[in-house]
This record gives sequence, structure tokens and C-alpha cells, in this order.
Amino acid sequence: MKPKIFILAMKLLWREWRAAQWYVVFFALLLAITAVTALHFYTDRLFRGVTQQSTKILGGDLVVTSSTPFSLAWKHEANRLKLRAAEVWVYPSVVSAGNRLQLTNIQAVSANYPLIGEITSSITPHTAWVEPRLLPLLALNLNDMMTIGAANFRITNVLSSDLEILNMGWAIAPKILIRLDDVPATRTVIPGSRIEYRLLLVGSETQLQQFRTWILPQLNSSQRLLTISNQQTMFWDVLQRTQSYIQLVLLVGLTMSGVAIAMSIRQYMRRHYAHVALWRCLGIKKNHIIQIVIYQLIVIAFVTGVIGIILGYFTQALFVHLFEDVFRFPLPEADTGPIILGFATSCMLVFLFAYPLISELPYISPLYIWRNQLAVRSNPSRIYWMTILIALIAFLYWFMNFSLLTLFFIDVLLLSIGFLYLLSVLMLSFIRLILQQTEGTIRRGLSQLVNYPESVSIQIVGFTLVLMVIFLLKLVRTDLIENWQQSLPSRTPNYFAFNIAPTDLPKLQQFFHQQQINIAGIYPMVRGRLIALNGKPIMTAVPMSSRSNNALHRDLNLSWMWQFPADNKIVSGQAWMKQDQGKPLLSIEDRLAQNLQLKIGDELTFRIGSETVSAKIANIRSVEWSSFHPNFYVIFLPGVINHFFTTYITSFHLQPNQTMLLNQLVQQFPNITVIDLANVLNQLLSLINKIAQALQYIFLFSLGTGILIFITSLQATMDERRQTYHLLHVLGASQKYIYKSLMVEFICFGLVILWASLALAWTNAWLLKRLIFGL
Amino acid sequence: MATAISEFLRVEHLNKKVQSGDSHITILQDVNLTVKTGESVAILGASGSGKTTLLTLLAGLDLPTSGDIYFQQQHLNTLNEEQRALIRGQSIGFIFQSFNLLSTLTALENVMLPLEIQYVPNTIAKKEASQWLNRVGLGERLYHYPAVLSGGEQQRVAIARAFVNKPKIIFADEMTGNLDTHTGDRIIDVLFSLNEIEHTTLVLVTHDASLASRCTRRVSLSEGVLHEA
Repeated sequence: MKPKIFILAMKLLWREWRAAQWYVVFFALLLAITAVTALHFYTDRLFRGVTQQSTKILGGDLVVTSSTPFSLAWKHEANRLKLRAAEVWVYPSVVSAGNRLQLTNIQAVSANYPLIGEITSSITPHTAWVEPRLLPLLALNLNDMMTIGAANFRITNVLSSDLEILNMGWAIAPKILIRLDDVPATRTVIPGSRIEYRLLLVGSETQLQQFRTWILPQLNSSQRLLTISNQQTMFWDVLQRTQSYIQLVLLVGLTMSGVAIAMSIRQYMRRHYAHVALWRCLGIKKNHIIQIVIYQLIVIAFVTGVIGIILGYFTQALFVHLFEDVFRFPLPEADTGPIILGFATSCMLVFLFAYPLISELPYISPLYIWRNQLAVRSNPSRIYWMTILIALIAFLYWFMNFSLLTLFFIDVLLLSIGFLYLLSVLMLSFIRLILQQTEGTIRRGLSQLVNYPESVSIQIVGFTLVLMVIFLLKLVRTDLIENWQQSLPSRTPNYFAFNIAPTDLPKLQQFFHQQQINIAGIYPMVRGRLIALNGKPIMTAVPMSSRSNNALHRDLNLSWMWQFPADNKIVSGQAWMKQDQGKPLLSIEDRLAQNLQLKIGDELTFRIGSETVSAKIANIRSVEWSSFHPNFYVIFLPGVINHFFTTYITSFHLQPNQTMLLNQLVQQFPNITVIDLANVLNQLLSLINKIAQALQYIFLFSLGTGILIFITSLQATMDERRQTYHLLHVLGASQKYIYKSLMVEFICFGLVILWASLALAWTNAWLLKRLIFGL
Repeated sequence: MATAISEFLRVEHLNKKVQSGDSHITILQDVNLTVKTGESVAILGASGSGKTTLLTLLAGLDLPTSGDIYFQQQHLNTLNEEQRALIRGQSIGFIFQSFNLLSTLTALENVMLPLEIQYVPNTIAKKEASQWLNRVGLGERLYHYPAVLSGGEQQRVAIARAFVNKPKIIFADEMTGNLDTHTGDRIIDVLFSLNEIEHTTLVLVTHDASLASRCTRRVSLSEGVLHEA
């Protein structure tokens, strides 16, 4: 960098700034960076906050489970990486109080448990926290004593829904939380006891990734890594879609900013031609002109970047403050990601859009002063444009974590630009065709459009893109929220009933009928373990990457039926028919089939009790795991496993005022286990509502930004209009004439933009919803 | 050779044609001209006669279709744009019909500009520019923007700008064309009095007879052909 050129560049920049030459570009850029960084700061915090909330479901950011005690090295590595770690042992045990006995699910936790959540107090020695449903089963109250093995515990707390609710909530036996160091006193754990050992970990993404990389090669087939992403919960779907929407918002923000900058910088640079021509007359060198403009743009990008990032930070802080009550969960501190994005956006927008114009500057002949036209127009090569395009796509793709959405969005944008350019050319041709037949202000307004074809095309493309992306956000958001609401309708089952004996079935159905409780269906259930594929032991028959799949390490709930539950859809193979009766056929869930690379016709062997059963895959089903209906990985054709010991399972919805019916149910059918999922469901619903609200505010914020950018861009394109209408005014045109001409111009322009943006938004939203959001 | 030393500009068999659609238009035809050092030459001619084109060629802003231009013995045609720009920056001053002051700059900054783009230190540039504005009678208007200056004042700023880098030659293109007669006369006075002191060579393009009469030599252009007037 030559200091003298830099100093001159700054001197000239300051003078232009002082004369308000840079205001429009600066404001458009500032708005863009503020909007993009505020959105990114806000959505990043919100998303991490929501993810943190969802990690409560797991108990940690990352959980390692093992059926054998894990080595101390794991904990040492976690300590070394400065991860917070807690240990949990999960095992079944019978507890007693008075003369009552109850099988429970013991969760023995280390002193620093829980790692996540609002509960800050840890469980104290010799006390137990129990699931509410255990108290009536043992006829106990809070502060009563109960016995676990050889030790007595005081019940000091009832487990709230905050603790690992989804993960633990599915266990059939009621849950009891005790301290890990109390376990030896209970003597409930002896060598060979069936215990699930869990190591819960919380830390930064980098630390977790390091741990993940370190531990993965050491895991054996009974050990697994759990994260919120590999749990098949509805919440994960919600999170993924929220993240996609947030990415969409950011892409939209970048698009809008790009349009604003492209339009304003173009105007600025055009005004600059006269300056450059004079400089050339006065003898400045070509490469000095480029250097001067580049230095000016770097300073503009940097200063705007800094101010935009600061404003963006405060805007998101204001947002967080405004909607504190809505979310009711603490948001994590802002990360540095948005700062990088702010600067990257600033530099990218300035240079990408200014470069073609900068490249023209040295070719501006000094004769521009006399002829007022460009003697030589530079024509950046196709290679330049291709390089820029690829660089832009690569940047966005990298920045958006290599999401498919980014590629899709870029495609959509490029196609839209092509379509809009074509549309503008057609519109102008049509206007030229009809211009001879028009008179007065209509003719004046229309001529204004055809007199500046390049400007009009750019404005049509720019404004339509801004409107299109705003409409797009609106359409996707509406459908997303509707989809969530529909997936958890008000009568979503909130109770599960297990262990229903076949003999109780008719009486139970009668009970539900009498109490007018709707049930989705009662399904037979047999527990069995998948042991072989096409005659080979399952662990050698499936790919290495699938061997840690949980379904291979535990008993699966197997069922049989003619008609699949309503939310199951066959994705390949044929539904079975009456003539198939007697054939050993089964249906498998699609994600499991995909993971194990199973295909139609493969033979699966299960061990049920002491017997083995083999059947061929007749079809593969998609399953709505989030529907809160009983669902099965494997469903057999009736007749294959009917002879095994069978219990039934169902789910149903109870209103809050109907919970008394539960007591009746338990009294009439003491063998049945009822699990209350109301808390899980409520927590899920409340989080989804919060996210829906967050999306609403994010949308409104984008809308506001879009409108501001629209106005800024319009301002930037007013130069030519102002000039013409000023001349007309000087020549004696009345205000009314000018106003009417302007109206003709804007109505014509506006109708095309509105129509095109609606049509494009609708089409693109339709594609986006189907291809990316899976709606 | 004494004649060669006193010769500042020499033009031989100069032709300039431009393309318009499919046809070529001849703007200058076999122009021959010699301008001596310290001489003031007026190029007269009607609108469209090719005066301004000739001026831009003499100043190295454009290249001829054929013919040769020698600027202080340097063959301009063989120099590239950067070399010609260097000559412009060091040896040439311009005065335009429409002043061409930058609206975003004050009078002082407009005059400083030629020095600044030659990277003359700010204090020197400022001092020089102030002095030149004083000499054209605008000492009180240093910090005024072009928009608040009258036409005559703007052209005086332009004259100060043309002289500030101590050029060897000044090209003026219809410098009084945008001014009333009285103001134009005063501007001409300013230019010629400065020229007398600075011994600058002057080439003026004009159709103003009173301006042309102040020059030591007059040539006229008619349909691209140059005649001694």
C-alpha cells in the first residue's frame, strides 16, 4: 500500500462524505450489516438457547451410554477438555414402603447432577426424588421414608418435568433419583447387574467435537453416543426446521442487502464518472484511480462493518430484552460468528457489486467531460463472473454449514434473476409497441420506462427480489407453524397404557367406551431382539457404521396387524393382502431400514423368548414418531408371532379434569401400567409455541428491514427520474402533469413487480417447503 | 536549432475520423499546425467544425486516426495513455466551457486537486492553491462550494486550477461560452494577465472574436480543415 495514495484516497473520501455523496450507499450498507448481524446474533443466541433447552431432554449436550462400567480415561479426557461431566447409573430395582413393593427405575446420579436446567440444587445424600406417580403406588407422601435395597431414603422432592424428561419419561417403571455415592449402601448393584451407565457432558461445540473424535474409535457395540440430533423426537424436527428457517432468513437478509447495495453503489459510481474523467484530464494514472477507489471502498466496508456490527449487537439485545417474557429461558451469550459475518457481508457486498463498476473506472476517457458518455465500456470476462459466482456460492455454502438450503436458495435466486430480466425485456418491448398509441401523461410515464431500459431492468430485478424474499419468508413461516400445530393437535394422546393382558382387552375397551375416551388403537406387542439378517449374525451382516444403532442392542417392540396405524405410510414394497396370510412377512420402519441398509426381500431373524422367528421384509414404512401414538419398528403379518406371550399397548388423551379416571383405570386393571406424558407434551408444546413466536418476530424484523431497504433502493434509483422531471418542470409541465406521469410509471412498474414477486414467491415457497422443509 | 527550441507543439497531416453506424465521419482533415513556446493561439470555428476534437488531440486526451503530434519534441502518438497522462499532469492546464469544478469540493479544494493527484504535500498544495485563488480575486471565497459561486467566479476558480501546477501550456475550450460578455471579458483579462506573468503557452478554442483578438495568432477550422486566419 502506498501511503500517499491512501492519504489522497481518504482526503477525497472525506470530501465526498462531507458532500453527502456516500450517504445512500453507506445507509444501505449499514442497514444491511445491522440487519444481517442483528438477525444472526439474535437467531444464533435463540437457536443455541433452544438447543440448550432441548438438551435438557438428554441431560447433556452429549451423552455416552454403556452397558458396562466405562473406563476412567473417559472422565479424564472430559476433564482435560474442560467439559463438565456428570455420571448416571440407570437400573431397575424394587423399592418398599411398609408392606408395599414397587419395581422402579433407579437413576443414581453424581453430586454435580443436573448439568443443565433451572434446578440448581443437587440431590443430597440419603434422600430420593421420585416421580409423582410413585407416591400413590407406595401410599407415601413427601418427606416419608422408603427403602431401596438395604438403605432407607427420605423422599424430599418430586421430579419435575425439567429433568431429562423425554428420555426418562418413556420408562415404564416410575423413576427414582438418588445419589451415586448412596448406591453401595443399598447393595442393589452387584457384579453382573443390568445397569446402563451414562456419562453426561456439557461444553463448547469444539470441546465436544474433540471428545467425540477421541471416543468414537473406542466404543464397542454396547456403547453409544447420544446427542439431541440422533434422538428421534419431534422436537428435533422442530429444531431442524427452525434452523433451516433461520438460515432462510439470513439468506433473505443477504439478498435484500445485496440488492440495496447493488442499486445504490451503481448510482454512486455513475456520478463518479465525471470526477474520474477530470482526474484523467489532470493526469492521474489509471492504476492510481483503481487504488484510490479500492482504498475508499475498504474503509467504507470496514467502518460500516464496525458500526453495523455494534448496531446489530444492540438491536438484538433490544430484541432479547423486548421478548424476555415470551421465551422465559435464558439465552446464551452472543458468539463471535456474527462479527465475522458482519465484516464478510460488508466486504462482499461492497466489492462484489462495486467491482464491475470499479473495473470500468480506468477506462473512462477524459473525453467523458465533453461527450458525457463512456468511450470504452469494460466488459468483465465470463471467467470473472463465473469466479465471482462460485466464490459467492462457496462463501454462502461454507457460512451456512453446507446446508442444502443454501444451494437451493442460490439456484432459486439465479433462476429468478434470469426470469425477471427476461420479464423486464418483454415488458419494455411491449411498452415500445404500444407507446405510439398513447397520449399525454401515459405516454410520458411509459417513455420514462423505455428511455432507461438498463435501469428499469435492474430495478425490476432488484425490487422484485426484495419483495419475493419477503413473501417467501411469510409463506414458509405460516406453513411451518401450521404444520407444527397440526402435528400436535389439541387431542394428542397424553397417556400411554402398557402391559394390557389379552384377557383384559374387552373390558378395557368397554371402559374407554363408557368413559367416552377416544383411543387411537390397541396394538399387540411382543418383545424380541433382531439377531440375524439373511441368515448371518446381525452384527456382521450390517455395515460397520450401523453397528452402534440402538435397535441392535435392545429388545424391540414387535407387533402384528393387517392395517397399519394411520400415520404409517408405505414408502416401498407392497401392503400385504389376504392371500399373503400364512407367509412369514414383516414391515420395517424406513429410517431403521436405511441405517441398516435393508431392502425388500431381506430376511430378518428375531429371538423372542427362547425361540427364533424369521420373516422377509414385504414393505418399508415411514413412521411419525412424534405423533404420541404407539409405533413399532417392526410389524409382522398376522399369524407369524401371534403365538408368543403378548401384551397390548394403547395411548389416549385425557382432559385435565378427567385425570380422576386414571385412578379408576388403575383400580379396575391393576396390571396395566399407565404413563403420564402430559408433562412431556406440555413442555414440547410450550417450546414449539415459543419457537413459533420467535419466528414471528424474526419475520417482522426481516419485513421491517426489507421495507427500509426497499425505500433506500428506491431513493438510489431516483436520480434519472428527478433529472427528467426537473427538466419537464423547467419546460413548463405542471405539478399535476409530473405527478400523473410518475403515477403511470410507478403503477406500471409496481404491477409487474408485485405480480412477479408473488408468483415467484409462491412457486419458490412451494418448492422450498417440499424439498427442504419436508412440509 | 533555435526554431526547434521555440516550437512547443507541432501537428503534421493530422486526420481524425469517427465511426457512426456503418459510415465514417471525417472530423479533422490534413491539419498542420505549429505552436511556439509562449505563443497564444486561438482556434476559431463554428460549432461542429472540429475545434474541441483538435484541442483534445493536442492535449493528448485522444489519438488521431493518422498524422503526427509532437509535444515539446515528443511524439505523442507513440506514447501510451499513462505516459500522456504524465505529460498532462506535469505540463498542461485545462479550462473548460462548463468549468468542470467538482461540486463536492470547495473552491480551494478544486484548485488543490491537480497538485494533490501529483501527491504534492497538503500544506504546500493548500498554500499554492490559496495564492492562485487570491491572484484570480477569490481570496475571500476559498471555502465556498461551486454551487454558491457565480459563473464568472467558477471560471476564475477553473483558471486558478489550470495554473496551479505551473503548466507549460494551457488549453482552454470555449472558456467564455457559458458567460455573459462582460464577465467573459473580465475572465479573459484575468487569463491573459496571468499568462503574461507566467509565460505560459496558450491554445484557446473559441468562436468569441474578442477573445481571439487577444491572442498572438489565430487559426480557423472549417469542416475539419485548418486555415491561418
